[in-house]
Amino acid sequence: MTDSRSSESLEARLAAAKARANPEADPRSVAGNAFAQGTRLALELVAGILVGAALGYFLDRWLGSSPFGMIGGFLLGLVAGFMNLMRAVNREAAKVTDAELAALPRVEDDDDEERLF
Amino acid sequence: MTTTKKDYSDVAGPLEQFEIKPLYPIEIGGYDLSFTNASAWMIGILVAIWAFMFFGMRKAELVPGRWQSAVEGLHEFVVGMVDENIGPNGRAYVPFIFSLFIFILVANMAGLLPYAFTVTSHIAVTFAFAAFIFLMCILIGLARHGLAWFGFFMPPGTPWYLMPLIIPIEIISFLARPITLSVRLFANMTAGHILLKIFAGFVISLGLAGGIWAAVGILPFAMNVALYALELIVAVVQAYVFALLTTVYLNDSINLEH
Repeated sequence: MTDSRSSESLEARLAAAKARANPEADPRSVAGNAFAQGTRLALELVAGILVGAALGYFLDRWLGSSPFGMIGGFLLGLVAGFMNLMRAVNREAAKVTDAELAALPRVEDDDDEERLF
Repeated sequence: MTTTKKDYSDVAGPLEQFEIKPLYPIEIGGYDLSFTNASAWMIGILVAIWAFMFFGMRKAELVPGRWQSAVEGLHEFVVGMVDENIGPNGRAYVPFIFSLFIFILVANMAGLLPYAFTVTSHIAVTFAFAAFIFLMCILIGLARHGLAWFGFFMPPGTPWYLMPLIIPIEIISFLARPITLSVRLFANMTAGHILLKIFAGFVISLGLAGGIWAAVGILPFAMNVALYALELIVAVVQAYVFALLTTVYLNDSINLEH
């Protein structure tokens, strides 16, 4: 068994081991992740607006500047929400490339190979 | 609940599962501090986590058994997450993140058991976590960096004439953190459980309608099975996201980058 392991078949076995180690993502898991990410990103925007509007509202109550505080707070909150959204998306994007890079060397010292030698 | 008529429409109320019922009424100083079903479930979750950790670490072996590998794997996972997001300074916070992650994970999973009460489906619980994390981030930031921490609200390279605009925006986006953190977990758990209950209600009412309708009842039943799989994923993913964002927020306080 050990003699028949030529370098060509090693490539093939590596590819097979790679496929075993990183199988196609389960569609349900992909759907779950996408759902989680979607609600998360939507929430970033909404929370920014809510916080901005609430700050503006209390500023109005304090200074009696109604309705300008709330309008201003709403607009600032909108900007803050978009900024948070942008940051969250950027963080996701950075994470994906990191995960892909991290996945590459893990295949080389695959468990199945070590057990054989 | 009226059960005089043979009407099952109120048996499977989709919101009934979220009701907090006092099991042992306690009142101190006019405040209702009753021991509720939520408290009972939280204690149950803590006991389950304690048992998992205790039996996993009882006899620590060099070659871990199944239980020990489960505990070790979970720990390595959290350590990896902290190392990746905070770096070497983050090791001190591993116990906190680990406790947070495992509590939310077990609470989410326990909520999927039949007749269960999901403690993380209450904003009071999730917001208590988020508010604690928020205050912790501020205090750690102030303790580590002093007043320089307030530079967090001024991104580097901002022109001076944009400062009056950027600082309020940064403050609002910082204040939004506990809200997104708590609402995300609460909304995901609540929405999922309502969906499960609604489809389960369809199964029952179609089954009671009899005849051809009972056969149609297989459809919502199949839907519920699929939703259950999705809910299992959501339970894990949301616990992970909560812990991950906590490390991201802690990182901003520990390693002041701008």
